[in-house]
Amino acid sequence: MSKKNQTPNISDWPHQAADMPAEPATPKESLSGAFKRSLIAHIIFAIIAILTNFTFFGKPVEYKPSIRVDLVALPDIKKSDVDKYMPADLSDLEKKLNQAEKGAKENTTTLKKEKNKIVVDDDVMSMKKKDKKNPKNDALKSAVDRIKAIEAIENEVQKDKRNKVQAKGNILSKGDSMTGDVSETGSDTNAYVSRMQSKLRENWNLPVWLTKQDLSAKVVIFLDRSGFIRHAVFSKNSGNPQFDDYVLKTIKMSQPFGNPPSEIQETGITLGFPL
Amino acid sequence: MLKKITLVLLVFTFNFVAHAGEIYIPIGKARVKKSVLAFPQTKYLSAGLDSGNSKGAVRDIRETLLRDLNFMNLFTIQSESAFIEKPDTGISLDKFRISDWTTIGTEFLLKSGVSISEGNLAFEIRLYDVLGAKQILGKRYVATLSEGALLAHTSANDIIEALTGHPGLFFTKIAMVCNKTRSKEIWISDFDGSNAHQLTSHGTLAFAPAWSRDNKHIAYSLYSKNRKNVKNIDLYEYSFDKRQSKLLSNRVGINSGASYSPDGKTMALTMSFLGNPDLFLLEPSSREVTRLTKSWGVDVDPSFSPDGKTLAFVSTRSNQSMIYTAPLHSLLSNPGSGERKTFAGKYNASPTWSPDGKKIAFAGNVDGHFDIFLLDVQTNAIDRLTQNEGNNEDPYFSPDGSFVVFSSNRSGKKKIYMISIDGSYTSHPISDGLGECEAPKWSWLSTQPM
Repeated sequence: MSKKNQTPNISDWPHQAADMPAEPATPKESLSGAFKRSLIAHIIFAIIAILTNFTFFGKPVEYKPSIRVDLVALPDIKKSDVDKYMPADLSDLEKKLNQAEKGAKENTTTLKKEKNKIVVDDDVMSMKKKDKKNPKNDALKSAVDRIKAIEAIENEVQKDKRNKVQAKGNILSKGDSMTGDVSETGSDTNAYVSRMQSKLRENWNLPVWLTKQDLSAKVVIFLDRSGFIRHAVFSKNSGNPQFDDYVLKTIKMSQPFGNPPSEIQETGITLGFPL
Repeated sequence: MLKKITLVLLVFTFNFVAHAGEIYIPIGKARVKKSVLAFPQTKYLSAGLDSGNSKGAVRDIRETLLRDLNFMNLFTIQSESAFIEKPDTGISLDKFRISDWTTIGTEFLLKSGVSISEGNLAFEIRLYDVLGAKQILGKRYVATLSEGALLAHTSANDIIEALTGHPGLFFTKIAMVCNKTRSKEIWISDFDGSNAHQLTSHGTLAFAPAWSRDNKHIAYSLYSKNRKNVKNIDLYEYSFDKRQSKLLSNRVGINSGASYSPDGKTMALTMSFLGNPDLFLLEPSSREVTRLTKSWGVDVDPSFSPDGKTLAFVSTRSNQSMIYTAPLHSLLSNPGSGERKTFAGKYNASPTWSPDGKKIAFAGNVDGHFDIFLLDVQTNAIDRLTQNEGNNEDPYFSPDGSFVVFSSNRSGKKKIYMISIDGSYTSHPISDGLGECEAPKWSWLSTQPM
């Protein structure tokens, strides 16, 4: 019974297939239609992307150290003593990192200088040959140097951490990450931003009463070529004029920040106090 | 047309990417620094004050004001030997050079002057932000010569409020339990421990005082014996207006650890007339009670949050004495509810809320000693305030949230101390001469003498 029932259906297929060529769509029309549909889809996507951009501002690249929190027992270190057990400051690590970067750059410079010399040393000659084979070698070497230097510092930090007294239930340290997300900016910018951060942190003091309130502010600053503040504007006021005064005072005291990378000159930098 | 659309899309896409690449640097927590304050000698603005009683009264006002400002632990008071301004210089901004103060590193300058106004003493203060070269506060207070302390405390309150945005503490009081008379009684002192006097005289054992929000009543518990000579813990309330105590509850067993609700209509306390010690709400006017907790463990030490919506308390329902919080409405509908806030320590007790409702201070037993801890209500993170200095118990916040007052036996005898909430400063004992003292409770803010 079932076979009989199926038979007419099967026989329909060739019939339909045979009819297909009888009504062919012109290739031009079908291409245009697909293009239109694709274009509409793209426009819809673009509109969504644009609206999202206006509604939810892009997540800024945040140079935020990671934070470690242990909560295994009541704290065995007093709140007033916690700072004593912290790694001196991130700025120390940043200084080391900057030095490592500087060292790597100096290596590159030395190599370049040697390239301009008339050389007779066999080793250097052979290096020159290698250079010819791979012109990117200098850059690669400096990158390797950088990675090695960073690894060395990270090892040192790990060793340092093992030597520290661990506090229970306290936020012991500001974390040991070098910086936050570095994927979208170059190393020059990173180093510059790190230097700015440690300079600002050094000058960031508040009277006792202002630290007891949960105040915060954001300032967008634009720098001139020498790293002086060209323009500073609050993108978020704290609501407390005294606090805002101290924020501006801190920024003024910390300048100049040195010749900024072009990227920073153009886009400006948002500073969060403390955020 | 297509090219135009593509161009527009490209522009918007670029904008999108540019936003995502914005550089943001969090600077982090600021370092705390005491502000440098200069307070030159009070200037005599009218003749006849610079002698005898008047001179002494003016000196007392300045000294009291200086003591108040020092108490807050906010300032480094500059030594007069550092001043370069001549002593007879005026007090208004046009009468002195601000550079005389910027040069020596002054951040805030407090100038004062006295004169006679219709037979009364007029005390004038001007507070300057030296770096901003502007006046922050300028006020004139008039009172009789004998009311110098009132003038000083009022002006100190105004100075602290102008700088910190929070009212000053200088009219607040502290209630505590002291055994100077051999029996444990409730005592009251000024915020700094001065002018202490005995409030109750039961001759037995009074404990656990609690201020009503209008500062007009103090509830406390008392060991007593009923008609059948059976020991009981009763709840009393002292009225400052009537200057007497009245019995609020003598239900069988425990009636203790009261905490007034912010509206003053009810109080939470521990009662055991149903057997197990549980938390109840008591209306002082009708003396009716409503059950708040029902667990197999012991529930004690209730403390109303500043908005009156939540209770913090201690419960042994997890086998150990731990801090719990629960919204009042859920306790009323489900007496077994509560969120456990501490998971460490052998014995955690006496939770008390900071005035902003963000922290709970408690005493926790670690390694055989009690110490003071601060719990962040939102994150449950815990900070330690005391360590290696005997037993530290009974924490209670000052009404401006700057200090925690507590009892400690660090000197061998149980005395009352206060510690700044960052733990950086601990006061001298403020209960000297009152025997052994415990359970300090700071009053609520007051703009006039209580």
